[in-house]
Order: sequence, then structure tokens, then C-alpha cells
Amino acid sequence: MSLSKEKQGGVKADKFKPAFSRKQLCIPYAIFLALFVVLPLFIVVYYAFTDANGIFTLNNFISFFTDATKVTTLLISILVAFLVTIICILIAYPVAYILSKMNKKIAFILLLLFVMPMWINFVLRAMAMKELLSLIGIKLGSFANIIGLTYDFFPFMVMPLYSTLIKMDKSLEEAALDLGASKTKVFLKITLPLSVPGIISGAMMVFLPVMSCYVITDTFSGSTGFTVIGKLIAWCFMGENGTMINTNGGATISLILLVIMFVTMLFTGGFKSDENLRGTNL
Amino acid sequence: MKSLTNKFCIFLFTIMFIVIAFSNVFMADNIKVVKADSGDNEITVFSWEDYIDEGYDSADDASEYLNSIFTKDELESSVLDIFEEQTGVKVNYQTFATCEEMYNELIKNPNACDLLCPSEYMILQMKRENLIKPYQIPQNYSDYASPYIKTVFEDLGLNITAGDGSKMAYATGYMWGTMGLLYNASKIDADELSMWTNLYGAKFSNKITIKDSLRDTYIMAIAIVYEDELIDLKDDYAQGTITKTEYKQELTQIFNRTDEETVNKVQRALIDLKDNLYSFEVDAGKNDILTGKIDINFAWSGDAAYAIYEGEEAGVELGYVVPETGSNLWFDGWVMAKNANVENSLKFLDFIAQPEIAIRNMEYIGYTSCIGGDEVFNYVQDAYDDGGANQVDLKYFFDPEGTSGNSYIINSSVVGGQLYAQYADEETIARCVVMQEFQKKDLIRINEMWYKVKLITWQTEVIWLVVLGVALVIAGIFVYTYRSKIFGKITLKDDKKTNKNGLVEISRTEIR
Repeated sequence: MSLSKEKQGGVKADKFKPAFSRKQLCIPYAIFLALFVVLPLFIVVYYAFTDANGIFTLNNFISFFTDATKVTTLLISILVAFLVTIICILIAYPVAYILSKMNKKIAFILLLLFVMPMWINFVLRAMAMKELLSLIGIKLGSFANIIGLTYDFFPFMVMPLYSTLIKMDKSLEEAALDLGASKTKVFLKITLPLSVPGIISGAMMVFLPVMSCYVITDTFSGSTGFTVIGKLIAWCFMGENGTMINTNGGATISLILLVIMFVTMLFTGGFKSDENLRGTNL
Repeated sequence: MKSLTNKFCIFLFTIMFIVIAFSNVFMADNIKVVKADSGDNEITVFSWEDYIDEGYDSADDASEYLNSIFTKDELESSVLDIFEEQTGVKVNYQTFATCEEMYNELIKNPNACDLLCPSEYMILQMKRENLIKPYQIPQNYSDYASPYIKTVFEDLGLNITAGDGSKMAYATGYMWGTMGLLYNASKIDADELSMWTNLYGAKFSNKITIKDSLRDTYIMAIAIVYEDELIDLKDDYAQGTITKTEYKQELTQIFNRTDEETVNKVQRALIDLKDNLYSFEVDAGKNDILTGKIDINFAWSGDAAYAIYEGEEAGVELGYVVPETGSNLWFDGWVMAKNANVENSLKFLDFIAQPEIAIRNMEYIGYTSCIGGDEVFNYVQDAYDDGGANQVDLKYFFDPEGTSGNSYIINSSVVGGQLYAQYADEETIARCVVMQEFQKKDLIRINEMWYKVKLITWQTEVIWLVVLGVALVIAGIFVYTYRSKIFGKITLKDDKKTNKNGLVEISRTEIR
């Protein structure tokens, strides 16, 4: 079977004689990948496992995991990312569901309204939101942080959910209704399970960036609110007036974050090459 | 399919190999980086954002005073362009948000720039680490710079005498100022802020911002922690028991304490203060106090002067006060990198020390120039002297020796306003001290303290509990995702049964 396919491909290639082969077309991307993705990764790993003098050491990791403040920040980031993801799902799912059932033209306009904020720079959006919160009278702090993060990442949840729901085969729901299932049952047994890929990819797009999105927490946290782990990394690399710059420590935290993201992807099936997931997952 | 995977693996390994080979090259220290100022008629300058006049859109936007000393064309082009026109030297101007970033850039590439404008502690650090070199003091600077500033720089050990007896400097001053409290004068009286500990007051709850900057906040916390000691010292000075110099020495000693006990006290003081704050900031404070979100902002004097001016335009009455127990005195100065182009750099330093240019920069950024002289005094007089009853004597800054015979007194009707922010009186300056650089071993501890202040720390038990919880959730998600692999495929078994009405009833069971 595979042999005949290859043959077919060969015949086709002969016929059209493209100017570049598929491999040649990959070269620019491969170079890009090597220079800007793989190489930086190696540099991060290099710095994470060396000290300021370039000597191999594990102290960076030890000092991170023995520091209660840093570990707390990491845990807070995970918990907050989880919470924000859940809130986003709870708000975005009904929205996406209603939109998918609507007249396509109206749905498009409404969807545009949800997505349009994404076209504005997110720092600006955060500043505007801060003004709004002070107008309503919500104090800066952890609660404002959650609101800010949810607001900022909400569109990333709506889009994948909507695209999954709109692609779903409507006849399945109709069949279930015909066979006497109640609307709730149709939703729970058909719509929800079929939209799981959308939920997962939406969750990926919210959960992972929230952990490092310190610009939002800087804006909203006031003096008492929490900060996410991204802030620690920024701190290590850029310093604040008077603080030390610690490239090795920063690289270590980056690597830890990278591993966490990798594990999250693995555990939520982000790497599963499932037919249903194709195109919707990262 | 299999061969494709193999090829991909080989490809990946090749890339890895190349990358590793390359990464060694990149990380080798002996690689010479191309000099930033490759041209003969170029210099690279590292400075802060908005720290030099970049020109007005139209000369009409500039003040009358500026219009009287500059032509329209000059006002509409940036100071750097004027320099280029006069000398033919092009300036590559790069800005940074913190001293540390500037320092890092210089460490990474010692040839990256010719001139830098860091704060005093960073100047001292760069000097100690041999990153900068002394230079001939520019003529304009020795002619016009304030004698007071020159003394301070001398005291910081930034001047040396060269072999031929000429004076050289590691740094010449650019801008200087104090740190204090910018407050909303319509809601708060200056007396209510005479002590740093007043910031703990319930009246100001959630209405204060302090600096998101370790050094500045540290000095404030020191004033809080050692308040009793500072009050005693002030009383001694007021009664004449100790001289001005002794007072200054004692203050400098207190404000530069970095021992473990002090750092712990500072940490506690700041964590307590956190509950009364609105936020930590470095830029937002000016705006937040104008919009009424906060009433008190721990501010650099230049920012305060700027905000008070903006407030006048917007109809918000703001004031600036340096609490009685003392505060920070800071300086930003020009230093020359080790590999700088000396000739061109000196041209720039001479240019920037001209009184006219100093006035322009002051007007533009709101900070106080280190350049004194009659021309600058005339400008200050023009801006602030309204013949009011409040006499501000600026002799200490412009002419402490009294050589020129002028009085240098400004008669202003405002107390604690923009003038006070730009040029604090001698009495205020007496209680402000320069903060030395932190020693490396102290810095590690102080850094740690700052993390603990800014971030939340849980008890060890709580951490373990949360780790356990997170692990359980992850395990749960994992099991759910791969449930078919773990528990095996689910097969369905239907049992058909005919019931008494003759209908077929199907019951379905799941079998693993």
C-alpha cells in the first residue's frame, strides 16, 4: 500500500516538475528553527547548569527549590493558571455554544466583538482595564489580578471552542433528539464530549501563557496581590533598580517552566496525534 | 513512514550538533565583537528614557524663556542634532530602564558605548570594576557646574589628579535631586508627612505608592526602622551639639547600614507597610496621583516637579516634602567607558555642560541640572520668583563661597511646591545623604529580602499540601486522558429481552 503511494507521488512529481523539491522548501524554516528555537534552547540549558564562571553546577536548581518564596510563586502561578483556565472555560463555553447555534452572519459579527480586543496591544488593554476597575471601585490585588488575566486570555478560549463547535456534525445531535434524548442529555453525551478537543486546545492557550504573563500581574496586583513566575524570570534577567542580575538563575527558572509546560502538554494529550484533535491543538 | 522518522532524527541530531558547535563559539569570551562606534565621527551614549531634550514639535510649545535664548530651528530640533551640527559628531543614543541593564550591556560588550549616564552607586561600582576611565574635566563643566555638586563628587572619590597635575574626573554630574513624598495638597497637609512612619497611618490606607526599586525603597525603610535614632540626631544638630559635618557623617552611617539585623528589620517594616499601599511603581505614580487614585507618591524630586507642574495644568494641587528625619540624595553623572573615543566624548560632555543646554534639558525632563552659574539662576528666577514672602536661599548650590556677590534668593509665594522639588533648600539638603553601593555579600542578602517583600511566601506545610494537590490533579488528568490504555478498551454488550408487551428492551453494559 505504502509502496504504491510512493510510486504515485513519484509520477506526479515528474509530471509537474516543481522548481523546488519539498526538501529544499523546508530549508529556510529549518534554518530559522535551528537559529531561533533550538539554539536559544541550548543556551538556556547551558546557563541553567552552569554558575557565573561557566562551571557545571546543579546549585541553581537546588537554590530554587529550597527557596520557599520562589517555590510559592511557582505554585501560585500553577494554581492561578488553573483557576483562570476554569473561569475562562465557564464563561467562554456558553458563549461559543450560543454563537455556534446562531445565524452565521450575526455570529460572525458577535465573534468579531469578542476577538476584536485581541487586535489592540494587550498592555494598553490592561491599562484600560485598570482604570475601569478603579472606576467600579475594585481594589488592586489578587482579585483584580484574576479579573485582568481572565479578561486578557478570554478570546483565546472562545476561538478554539467556537471553531470546534461549529465544525461538529449537527446530525449527531439531531439523531439523539430524534431518538428521544432530552436536551440536557444531548449536551452531556454528545456536544460536550465532541468539543473536548476545543476545550483542551483553549486550555493550552490560556494555562501556559498565564503562568508567565507578568505584565498583567504587574498592572493589577497593587502592593499585596500575587505575582506569576514570569516576573521572577524577568527579574533575574533585567533586574530592577538595585537588584542583581542573575542570568544563570533566570535560565534555571525558564527551564523549570519549560519542563512544566512540556509535562502539561504530555498529560493533557497535547501530543496525541488523534484525528479529532488535528488542527485544534497546538 | 519509519525511514522518514529516522531521517528526521538524523536531521535533528545534525542540527543539535551544529548548534552545540556554534554555542561554544558564541559563548567563548575571547571573541571580539565589532565596535559599536566604528565610525570616527560617531559616539554611542547610554542613558535613561526621556533624559535629554528631544526637540519640540513647534517652537511655540516651548516656554518664552527658551524662545529667548534659542532660535526657532534650534528648539524644533533635538539637543543631539544641535550637537551634531556644531561638531559633526553623530550620537547614537540608546536608552535603558534601569542602571543594571546599562551595566549588563557594558559587561557583555565593553566596546558597546562611549558614554553612560548611570546613578552614583553604579558609577562607584563601575569604577571599582575598572569599566570606566577618568577623563579631563570639560571646560564648560569646570566653569559652570555647581560648586556644591563638584564637592559631592570629590567626596565620593570620583576625582583624581593626573601625573601632570591636572584634575581628572571619573564622572561629571548631569542631574541630581532628593527623594521625598509627592502628595495631594488639597487632602493632606505637609505636616502630616513630616515623618516616614506617618505612612502607616490609617488615613492613607490604599492611597500610597512607593518605588518598585530596591535601593530607593531600602533607604525609606531605613528611615522608618531607625526613626528614633534619626530624631535624636536631628535634635542634636538643631541644638548645635554636633556640627553639620558630624550630622552628615552620622546620617550617612545610618542610611548605609546593611547588616543582617537591619535587613531583617527593613523586611518586616516593608511587609507591614505593604498592607497600607496602593502599589509599587516606577512610572505610574505621577499619573495615578493626578487622576486621584492615590494621594501620596514616594517620588524622585524631578518626577515630583514634573507632576506638580502637570497638576497646575490639570487643576490638582500637589506638593512635595522631604520628611524631617532625612532621605536620599542622588546623582546621575556621565562616565566614559574604558574603550571610548576620548576626543569625541569630551566634545559631547563639554557641549552638554553648557548652561543653555542644561536649561533646555531641565525644562524638558523636569529634573535639576548639576550645572549652576548665573544663566541657570536667571532661568530659575524667571520660572519661580513671583515676589512672594517665602525666601528660598540657593546660595549653597550656586555660589557657596560668595565670590560673585549675588544673593541667589528666590522670593516665592509657594511653600513646598515645584521650586522645593527642583531646588530644595539648604536645610533639606543637610538631612539628605548619598547611598553607597551595596557590597556584594550584602547585596545577596538584600536581594533576598526584596524578593520576600515583593512576593508571597507560604509556610512549608502549605507548600507540601499544594504540591500534593497539584500532583493529584495532574495524575487525575493523566489517568483520564489515557484511560483506554490503562484500563483497556471498553466494549459494549447488549442484552436483548422481550418484555411482556412484546417490545424488545435493550440493556447495555460496559465491559473492560
